[in-house]
Amino acid sequence: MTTTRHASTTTAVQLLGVRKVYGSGDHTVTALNRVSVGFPTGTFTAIMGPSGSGKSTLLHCAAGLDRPTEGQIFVADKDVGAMDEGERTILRREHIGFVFQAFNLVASLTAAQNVELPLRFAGRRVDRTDVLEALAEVGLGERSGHRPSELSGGQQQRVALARALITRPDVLFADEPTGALDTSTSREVLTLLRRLVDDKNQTTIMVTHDPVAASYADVVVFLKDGQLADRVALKPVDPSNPALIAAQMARLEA
Amino acid sequence: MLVLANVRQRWRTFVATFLAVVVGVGLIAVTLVTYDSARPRVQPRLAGTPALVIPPQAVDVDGSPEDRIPWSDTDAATLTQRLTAIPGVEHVIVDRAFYAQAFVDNRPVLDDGALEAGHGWSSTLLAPYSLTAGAQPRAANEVAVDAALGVKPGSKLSINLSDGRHDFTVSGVIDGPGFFFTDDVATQRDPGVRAIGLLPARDASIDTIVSQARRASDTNATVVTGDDRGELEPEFIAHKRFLGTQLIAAMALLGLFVTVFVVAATLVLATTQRRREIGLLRTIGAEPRQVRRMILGEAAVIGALGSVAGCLLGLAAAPLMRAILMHLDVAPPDFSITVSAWPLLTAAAVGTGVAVVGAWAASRTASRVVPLEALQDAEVEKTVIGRARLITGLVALGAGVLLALLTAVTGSDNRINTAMVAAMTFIVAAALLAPVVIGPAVRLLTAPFARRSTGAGPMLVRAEILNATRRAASTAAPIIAAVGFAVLISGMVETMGSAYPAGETKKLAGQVLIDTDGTPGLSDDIVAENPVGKALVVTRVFVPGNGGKTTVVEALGSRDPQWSSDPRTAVLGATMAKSLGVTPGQTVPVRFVDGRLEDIRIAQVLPDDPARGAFVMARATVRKHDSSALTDTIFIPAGDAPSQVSPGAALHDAQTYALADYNTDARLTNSLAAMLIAVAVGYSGLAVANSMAMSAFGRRTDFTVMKSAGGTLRQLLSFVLAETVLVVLVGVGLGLLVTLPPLVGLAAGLSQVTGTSVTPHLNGAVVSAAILGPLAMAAAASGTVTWNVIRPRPA
Repeated sequence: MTTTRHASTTTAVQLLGVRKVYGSGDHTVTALNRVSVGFPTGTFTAIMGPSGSGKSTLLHCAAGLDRPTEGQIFVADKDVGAMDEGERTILRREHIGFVFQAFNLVASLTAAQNVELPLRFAGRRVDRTDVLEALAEVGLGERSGHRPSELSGGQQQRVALARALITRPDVLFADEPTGALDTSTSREVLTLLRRLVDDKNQTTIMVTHDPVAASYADVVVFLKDGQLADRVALKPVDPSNPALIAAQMARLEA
Repeated sequence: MLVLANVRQRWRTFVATFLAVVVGVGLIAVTLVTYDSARPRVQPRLAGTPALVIPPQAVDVDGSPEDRIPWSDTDAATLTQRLTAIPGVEHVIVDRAFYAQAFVDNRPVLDDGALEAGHGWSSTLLAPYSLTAGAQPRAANEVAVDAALGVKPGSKLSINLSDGRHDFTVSGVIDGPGFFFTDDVATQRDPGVRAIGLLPARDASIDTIVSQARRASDTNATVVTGDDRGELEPEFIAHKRFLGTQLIAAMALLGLFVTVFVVAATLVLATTQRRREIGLLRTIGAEPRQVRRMILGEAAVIGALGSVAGCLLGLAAAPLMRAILMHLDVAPPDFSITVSAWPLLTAAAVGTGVAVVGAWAASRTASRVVPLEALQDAEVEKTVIGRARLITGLVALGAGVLLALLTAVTGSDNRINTAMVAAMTFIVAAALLAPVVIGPAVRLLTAPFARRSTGAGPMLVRAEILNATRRAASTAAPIIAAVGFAVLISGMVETMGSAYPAGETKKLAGQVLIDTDGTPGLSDDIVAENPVGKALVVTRVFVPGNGGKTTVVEALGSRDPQWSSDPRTAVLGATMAKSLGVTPGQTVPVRFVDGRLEDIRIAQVLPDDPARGAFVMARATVRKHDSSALTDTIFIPAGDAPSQVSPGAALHDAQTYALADYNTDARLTNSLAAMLIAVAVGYSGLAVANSMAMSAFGRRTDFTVMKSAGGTLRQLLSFVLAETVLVVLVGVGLGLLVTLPPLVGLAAGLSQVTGTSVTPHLNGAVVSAAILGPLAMAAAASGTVTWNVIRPRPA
C-alpha cells in the first residue's frame, strides 16, 4: 500500500457531517447527528460527554470499527466510511492503534507475543529488539515473558499501549483506558500517554468520563445528544484543569 | 504461535473436543486394526505349497472383483504340462475342492467348511498332510479322512455328496481336516480347476520357478506366493469376513460421524464463548481468514493430540473387539489381532482431518465476529439462525427423507447402513435447525410455570435459553444424536423384526418347506424323494458383462417345466438382463464352474421376481456342469407334504421357517444395533456432559452477578438444573421428532414390500435408557461445575 503518511496533512483524523443511526423502522436511535470535527496531528484530545452522548460511537466510527450511516471520515487521507470491512481491517492494522478499558490482551500469549501480534497479522517481519524496545518504552522491558495473568492491571494496560504503538500508527484511540484502574496506576498510564504525545508526536484520541484523565489532554471535546457541544483547549499541566472540566460536564448534564 | 499458545492456555475449552477425537479415533483405530488383522490368511491345507497358479478373476455385476474363473480340464491339462516342464518343479498338483460331509449315526457331522471339504488325494501334498494309519485311497469307494473324526482304517463311513449319501471304506487316516478321495473321483466331482500348486524340488530356487511359471502361464493365470496365497480362501470364511467387515464398517462410520458432530458442536460452543477475544484480534488487525486459520489450526493441533491418545485407546480395545466378533461368529476361525502401522496412521490422519472438518462451522462463526464485540460486555445473540445454516438444515432434512424412503426399499444387505446414514442426515438437520425450534419449544414448556410462579427461577430459565438459543442448540445437539440413533436404530430393528417374518409367512402361506439341517444344502437324493414343488439348485456362471469383463452371477437350476423345457436356454430377470446388456433371443457364451463354455439362448426376460430368480436354467443343465452344487430349500404345497424327510433336512411350516430364516439374520442385526446404540449413547452422553460443564464454567461471571443480586446457592443450583433438564427435553423432543417420521415411513414401505400391515415398533427400554442416560450425565455435569464455580470459599 502506498500512502503519504505523516506528510501532507496536519489533521490526523477528520470527521465531516458524520451521522450514525442504530436500529430500523420505528425503533431508531440517532447516536451521532452530523458531527464535524478534526483532530490535528501530534495532539492529545479527550472526548467527554454524558452517557448516551455518542462519544463511544464517535470513537468506533473514527477508528474504523463501525460504519457511519452518513458522512465522511478521513484517516491517513482515506475515507473510512467508504471502505468495506476488509479494507478497514488493513487500515486498522497499518494506521491505527487501540487501547480499551479491559480485556486488552490475549490471555494465552506472553507480553512480548501480545506486542508482536499486529505485526504477525500484517505478515511483517518481527524484530525482537523492536518488541523489547516497545516494552521498555512503557517500562516493562523486564516483563516481556510474563502472561497477562501474571501482570497487574496497570502493567496490562501498558502492554496494550506497547502493542498499539508497535506499528507506529497515525493515531492512537483509547476507550476509557483508565476505567478499570485505581488512581495511582491511572496516573502512570496517563503520564505515559502524555509523554508519547510530547516526545513522539503521537496523535491520541481518548474517550473518558473522568475529568482527571481528560485533564492530561491538549483539547477536550464535549458531546451531548450526538452533537458537538463544546471544545475546550487546556493549558498544559494546570492543576485547575480537572475542576474546569468537571464544571463543564455538570453544565452539560444539567 | 497463537494457535499453540491458545491450545496450551485454553485447554479447558478444548477438553470436550479432545475427548471426542480420542474416542472417535479409538473407534476407528479398533475397526481398522481388526479389519487389517482379519485379512485373508493362507489356508492351512495350502501352507506347504510355496507357489500357486490361479486363474483370472471375474467381477460381479457392480464391477467389484469376485470369483476366479475356473479352467476346464483341458485348459488345466495344457497348463499342467507346461508347468511340469519347468526345471526344478517336482510336483504340479491340480487342486480340487467339493462338498463332502460325514454322517455319523444318521446325523451330519457339523462343519463350516463342508462345501469345500472334499479333495483328491494328491492335494494332501499341498499342506502337506501325511497318513497316521492305513493307506491312501486307491479305489472309487475309498477315502482317507481326518484322524480327528475317530474312524479306523478299514471301517465304513457314510459321506454325503451332492448326489446323496454314499458308503465309503476308510483306507487311511491323516493329520489334517478334509475328505481325500482318489484323484479320479475328485476330477469327476469338481472338474473345473481353480488352483494348481507348484512344489519345488529340494534344492530348486523358488524365485526362478515362479518367474518361469509366470512366463509359461502368460495372461491366462496369476502366480501367487507368500501371503498372497490367502486369495484362495473357503467361501464360508469370506462370508464371515464380509459380515464382520459390515459390522465394523458401520462402527467406523458411526465413529466418524459422531466425532465430526461432537467436535463441531463443542468447537462452536467454545467459539461463542471467546467472541470477545476474537473481536480483540480483529480490532488489532486480524483479517477474517486469519481468524479462520487460527481456529482450524487449533482444531488440527487438538485433533493430532487426540489422535495419538485415540490410537493407544484403539490398541487397548482391539482384543475386546476381537472377542465380540468371535462371539458373534463373524470372524475367521483362526482370527488373531496383529498390529501394523497403516491402521494407526490412517486413524490418526482421519482423526486430525475430522477435527479440522468439525471446526469448519466454528471457524465460519469466528471469522464473522466483528471487531466491536471486543468492546461489548454482554454477549447477546443477534440472529436466531443464519441463512446458510437454515438452508443447509433444510437440505439435510430433505436428504434425510429421501434416505429414509430408500431404507424401506433397499436390499437387506445394505438396510442397516442405509438406516444409519439416514439417521445421521436427520440428526444433522435437527441440530442445524434446533435454534428455530428451541424458542417456541421453551416458551411452550415453561408457560405454565412462568404464569404462576413469582420466583426468579422460571423467569431466568426462560430468558437465558431464549436469549442464547444457539448456545442451547449446541448443548442439545449431542442429545439429539443420542436419542436419534437409539430410537431409529432400535426402532428399525424391532420394526423389521416384526415385518419380515410376517411377510414371509404370508408369502409362503399354504406351503411346507424342506430346509437344511446341519448341512450347507440339500443333496439330490432328498430332492428326488420330494418330486413335487419348487427346488432350485444354486451355481455360479461366468458371462461376458458390460465393458468386456467376465462377470460372475448366481444362476439357478429349476425343475419347473415352465423354465426347464429347453436345456439350452435361460430366463433372466429384467435387472439382470439390463446389467449384463442382453436381450431376449440373444445367445450368450456361458462358462460354468467346470470351466466349459456353452452357448445359452436367452429365452425370455421377465420382470424381477425373487421367488423365481434372476438367472434361471434347467436343473439338468446346471447339474451337467456343476456336479457338486446343492439345493437351498424345497417349497412344497401343503397338500403334498411328506410325512418325514431324510437326515440332513428338516420339514417346517411357513411360519417357523420364516422366523428361523429371519432369526439367522436378526441375531447379527440385533447385536450390531446394540453395539451401535451403546457407542452412540455413551459417546453422546460424554459430549453432553462436556458441553454442560463448558457452558456452566463459561457463565461464572453471570453467577457472580446473580449471587450478588441475592440468589442463594440453592436457587442458583436449581436454576441451572432446571435449565439443563429443559435443554435435554428439547433435545429429546427433537431426537424423537426426526426419527419417528422415517420409522413410520419405513413401516409403510415394509407394509408394501411384505404385503402385511406393519406398524412402527419401539424398544421401550432402549428409548428410556437413551433419554435418562444423557439426562443424568448432563444434570450431574452442570450441577457439579456450577457448584464448583459458585460455592463459598474461605476468604
